Amino acid sequence: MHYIDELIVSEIRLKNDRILHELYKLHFPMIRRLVMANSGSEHEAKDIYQDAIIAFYERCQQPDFQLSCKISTYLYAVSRRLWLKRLNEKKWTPMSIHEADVFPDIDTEMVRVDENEANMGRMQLALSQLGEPCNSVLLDFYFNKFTMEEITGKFGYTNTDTAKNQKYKCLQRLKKLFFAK
Amino acid sequence: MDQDIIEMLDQYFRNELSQERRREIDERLKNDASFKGEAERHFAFLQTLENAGRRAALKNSFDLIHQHIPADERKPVVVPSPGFRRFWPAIAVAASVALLSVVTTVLTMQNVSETESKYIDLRRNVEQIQRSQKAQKAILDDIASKKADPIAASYTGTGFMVSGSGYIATSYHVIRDADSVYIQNERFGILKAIVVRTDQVNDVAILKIDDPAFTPSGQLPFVITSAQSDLGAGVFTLGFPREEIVYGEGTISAATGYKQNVTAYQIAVPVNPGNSGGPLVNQTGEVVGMISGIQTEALGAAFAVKSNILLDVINNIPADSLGKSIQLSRYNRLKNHDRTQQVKRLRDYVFMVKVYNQR
Repeated sequence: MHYIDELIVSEIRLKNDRILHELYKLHFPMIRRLVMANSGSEHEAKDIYQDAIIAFYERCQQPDFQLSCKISTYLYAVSRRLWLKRLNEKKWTPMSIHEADVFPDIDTEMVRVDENEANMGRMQLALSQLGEPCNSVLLDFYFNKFTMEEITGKFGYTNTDTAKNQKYKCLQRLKKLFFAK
Repeated sequence: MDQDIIEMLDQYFRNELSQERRREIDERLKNDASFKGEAERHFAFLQTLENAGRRAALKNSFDLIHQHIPADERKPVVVPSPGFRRFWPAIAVAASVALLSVVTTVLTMQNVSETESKYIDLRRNVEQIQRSQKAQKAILDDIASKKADPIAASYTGTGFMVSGSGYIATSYHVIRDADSVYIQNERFGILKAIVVRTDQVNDVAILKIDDPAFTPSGQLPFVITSAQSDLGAGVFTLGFPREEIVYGEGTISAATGYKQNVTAYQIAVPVNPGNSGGPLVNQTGEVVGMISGIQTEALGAAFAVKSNILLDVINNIPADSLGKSIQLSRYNRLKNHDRTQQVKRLRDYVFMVKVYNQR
């Protein structure tokens, strides 16, 4: 694979956000052209593109991930599939653009992408139903990796034990909401 | 699961437990199947939660930078015209040049404390340089004209002759993935070579010149020493970080290499991509090592494989894969020469190693 693409993947693995952002800026026009040439709006292009680039980002984080095609090919092929799906949902005519740029394992990749999307959708919904401050407590602890002391301070709990207690209760509620449907 | 167990698993998930506690839990996970099941479900849930948080954060940051993307010209886009398709490669190349420059600036400006130090091989990626040059040229020149460029090497490194019968030592990482290998210098011109021995662990490869244009050159004027070099010993190297042979000098700064690797020296010699495989020579003109890589974290920390390792690799080449065993030179004819004389003699035996691959 291309050296530069491998370099980008390894930088993204090291959580180099600047590279990720530059990558984002670089390939958006390509996806915008694709979506807008196929009865989509710029806003829809942005939605699709963000999902594709997040899928790419998440793949990069997996230790077994091996880039099997150019990054632009990955983004194009995944975006195209996502947009096709969106069009199907809208019962619009499928795209006229033929599949020029694909990589061999696109089908398994799309299964993975769709699964992730569904899972994430459920989690986002559960989080929004959970409300504050639970939402922030959990994300601060499990995603932002704050310490219990930091959380105690930030949310004004009397001590870390109270904070731990709250965190536990919030997590139980979130699990209930997530597994409800 | 009750609160205490969740608390414990959370700490496990966040890697905050002492080794002892961690081992205890590992033990329990191994022996208690129902506990394992519950723990795994909990971890999977936390992973989903973490991913959701990251997604939200990513989308936010994307929305922010999205404002900096210039808006489309708002022309209703129809089917891409053939004309557009014709220019698409050029546009794509231009875009990748842009990213390339961004990547390289970000890399050079990167905060070194942010990640653990990295070890970098010093083979030179020609494609990287070539592609950006080619791309700029392509955009400036007529895009449609299809002049055949002379095929350019994918990677280059350095190598040096270890036996007058045509054996060349270089770094393994230079010739890794090679479809074909050529060596080149002023005295011998361009010669085809084949890889006869690799030692991936020590990053050593031995090539043999396989070209009718090559006539064996007899005994080499320098020797490869099996003795260890002392700290502070003055050394120099010759190599091809660019098309021209480049001299660099410095000292042996540590008796071990990257991560206490005893088979290498740390050296304070300015080296660059392309220097890999170059000989490291001491003041008396003996080869004491071979340049292999640098550490990104510490400025000026480069590494060289020790010459005794190199000798081991050469001596372990089975005779049958060679025809006859390699004759190493025994007499150091550079001993009483000054540095410039040594370099003058040596440079005849230092080559640019050009690696081609079709990937």
